[in-house]
Amino acid sequence: MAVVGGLSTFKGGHYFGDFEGRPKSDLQVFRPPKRALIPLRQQGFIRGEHIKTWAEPKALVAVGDMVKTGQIIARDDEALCSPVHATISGKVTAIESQEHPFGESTQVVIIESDNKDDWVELDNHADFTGLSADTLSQILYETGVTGLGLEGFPSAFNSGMAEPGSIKHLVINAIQTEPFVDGDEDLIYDEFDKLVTGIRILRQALGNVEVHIGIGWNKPRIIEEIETRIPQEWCYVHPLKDKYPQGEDEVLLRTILDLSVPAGGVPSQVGALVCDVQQAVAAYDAVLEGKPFVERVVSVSGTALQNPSNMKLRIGTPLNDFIKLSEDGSTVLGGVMRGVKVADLKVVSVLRDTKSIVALKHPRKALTAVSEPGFRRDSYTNVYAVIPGLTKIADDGLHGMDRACVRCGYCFDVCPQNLAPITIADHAKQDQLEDCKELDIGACVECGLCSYVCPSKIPVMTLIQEGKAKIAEEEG
Amino acid sequence: MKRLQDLHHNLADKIDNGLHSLEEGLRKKGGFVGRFDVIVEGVRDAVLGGTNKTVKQAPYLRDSIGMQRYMIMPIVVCIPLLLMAIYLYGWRTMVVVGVTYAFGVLAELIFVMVRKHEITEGVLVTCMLYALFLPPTIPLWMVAVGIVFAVVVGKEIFGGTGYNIFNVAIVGRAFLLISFPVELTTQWLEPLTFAASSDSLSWLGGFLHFASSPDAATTATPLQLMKFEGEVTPFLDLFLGIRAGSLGESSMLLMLIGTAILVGSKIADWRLTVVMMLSIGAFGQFFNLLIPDVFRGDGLFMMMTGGAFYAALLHITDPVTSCMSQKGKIILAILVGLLTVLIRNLTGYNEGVTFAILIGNMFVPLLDRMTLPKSFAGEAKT
Ligand code: SF4
Ligand code: SF4
Repeated sequence: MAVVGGLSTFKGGHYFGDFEGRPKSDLQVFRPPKRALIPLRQQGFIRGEHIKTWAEPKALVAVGDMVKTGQIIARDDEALCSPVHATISGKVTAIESQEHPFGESTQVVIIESDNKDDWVELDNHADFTGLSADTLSQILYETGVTGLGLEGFPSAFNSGMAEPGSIKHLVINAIQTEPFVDGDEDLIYDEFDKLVTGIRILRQALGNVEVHIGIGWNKPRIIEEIETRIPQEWCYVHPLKDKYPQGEDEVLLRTILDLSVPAGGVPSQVGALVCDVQQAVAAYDAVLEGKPFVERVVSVSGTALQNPSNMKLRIGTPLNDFIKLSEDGSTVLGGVMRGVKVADLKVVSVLRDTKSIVALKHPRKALTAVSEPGFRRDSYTNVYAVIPGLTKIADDGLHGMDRACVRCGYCFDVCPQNLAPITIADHAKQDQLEDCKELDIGACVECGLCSYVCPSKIPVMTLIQEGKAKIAEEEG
Repeated sequence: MKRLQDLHHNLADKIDNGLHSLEEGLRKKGGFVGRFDVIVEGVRDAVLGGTNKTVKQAPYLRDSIGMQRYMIMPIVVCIPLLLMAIYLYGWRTMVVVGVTYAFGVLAELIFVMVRKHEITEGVLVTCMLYALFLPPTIPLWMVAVGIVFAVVVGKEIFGGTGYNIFNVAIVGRAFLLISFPVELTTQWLEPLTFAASSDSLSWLGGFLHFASSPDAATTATPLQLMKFEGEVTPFLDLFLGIRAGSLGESSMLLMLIGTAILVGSKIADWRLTVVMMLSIGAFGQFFNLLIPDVFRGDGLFMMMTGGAFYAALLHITDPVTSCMSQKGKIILAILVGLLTVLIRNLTGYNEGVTFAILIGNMFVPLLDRMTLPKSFAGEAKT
């Protein structure tokens, strides 16, 4: 193991402060819910074409069937998606069509719990070192450890993006820079042993490639620990500054390995595979304990919650089971920067890739926009008299009036991909799709910073996303 | 503390509701009176503007800065300059500023009412920058003509703040420079602090006077003294700003403080202010060494005289009319610095910086196109 280089970071980005309503430390384990809502549709990429798309495996169960925790209830080995597991044991009471929180409609399997939490029995391999890469891949696929992010894990099946053998670097993304998200930190502290073993498993499944760990520089204890626990030549730790969006695959790979992912592409195109901490821990559970991926750590936080904390939740737990809003606010599924607002907490549940759920208070009216000294305000500029060390105010306010672009250039300065965000957005708005492509619209990682910093409150990222959708539509 | 906050929010709610119903009422009346609704809306949005709007699309967390906060910063920086101007030239300065605001805002309001677009904060900045860049003796009717020209021709015919190509305040000043060159370039006053007086309060300078006495001798600016008489103004006078010149442009000390505020808060990009000053200094020095007969005064002198620093701090940094990319900003700043030095020394206009900025503004669209940032994404492998 080696710690590589000094502190690395990237051009652009923004250091968010510490916001009020952040999850308090120590992980809470939430009991299995009475009712689980499991959408089948997943985000993925079309193989070989690298176009982000949706895949929906076929349901294997019917209404009335009894299922066990961890049982596969839907799979499609041809499509680019991971099998879907029952996350509680009980009876399938309905399979209905619903709007997926991130758009498009999806089949949702609804399971009513029998309160026993019976798990399926799978083989466990206390000694995994003898297993071949193919066997490991198959186990990981069947337990749903594949594709926690957008990208599938390579396997002997068709559900991986990467061709076996084309991967040279396994990158463990252990840095979370988005506001209100720090579930991985808890996981690293609590499940350190599993993490270390999980990394070994993932590596072995990829044919013993190099491992790179990107981690916040402010966790020296963990860095040291990794150093003592993985003393081999194949593991490199990269301490990183906690600037958003360092955890984005494209940005991470560029920072630590100097690999540039093509616009709209995926890391496997440059020979790298990015997994997060959750995935490494899940790999341990899958291989050594025979437990499929049915629960995950979610940062449940925000100012409108009484008890912000990191929670271990079953996938499919309806949000209103564990979210108690203390006052009127909006709940955002999937992180404040790129998530979606949830209107009805009863019908939306924790998804397999939900890292964060944030409930923010609405702002209140102030007499003037300029009288406030702003000791606790977060801004890209320094127009507020921020006192370092205080937590920052977080609400879902726009904090300004909609104005025409004043060409301040902030969106240029923060863009981690070095794009010209408002120029692209303008072209996208006017349907000049050729110009959009020329400006590399596909390189946008949708980090949301351009919308965040804009003093004219232009939803720059949204316009870019709409542009991408128009292009996708045009290309069929 | 919590009680105080609640009080504040409730008061804000009440005032806003009041204004809102007033606006609705006007709108219902329709006709000519109904047109005034945009003014009430302007007061609500642009003047007060402590909004409680919520975000509609991701990201649901947004920067605390809004346009009001953004636009107030240059005005904050101008307040010490304004005080300095009063100190140097008396309270007439306030009248000049007052007239500018009255006519500038009026022109904006008329357009807002006719074109039904919303009032924007920009005009408040424009007026301040325009007023402080005028000579102390300027006739008030000229002040009014200039600012109306600036708002109408410089901004509104382009479509309002954000769409104008030329810096609005500079358009007004350039218009005056061309139309009334005598008033704009020859009638400089000695600062009132020069007046020998036995009064024990004489250190208050212009704060004791409305204006210089009408028969006060006109003098020349340091640039003119240098150009026509080869006379060097002492460094300290230049630094503190005790010299003839436009109302707010003279004090380098206050400019430095202003730079700290504006550049420090990221409202002005250092790539514009600092690079433009360095460019003026470097080119000034270079040409001075090369052709000393034509290019009088060394680099430092070039930087400290005329409106160079004022324009570098407040005019070139106008976001609407400068480049968006970082590279573009640097090129623009170097270009404007070079033009300033050339125009000052090779043409009859001592205040070269005004035209330098106008010419610079013309290059912005081209520079923007040329300096588009290059995406970090890799080439697609086939
Ligand atoms: S253009 Fe895309 S990558 Fe750049 S700041 Fe905006 S959302 Fe982020
Ligand atoms: S941040 Fe907003 S106002 Fe500034 S250049 Fe970008 S889109 Fe325009």
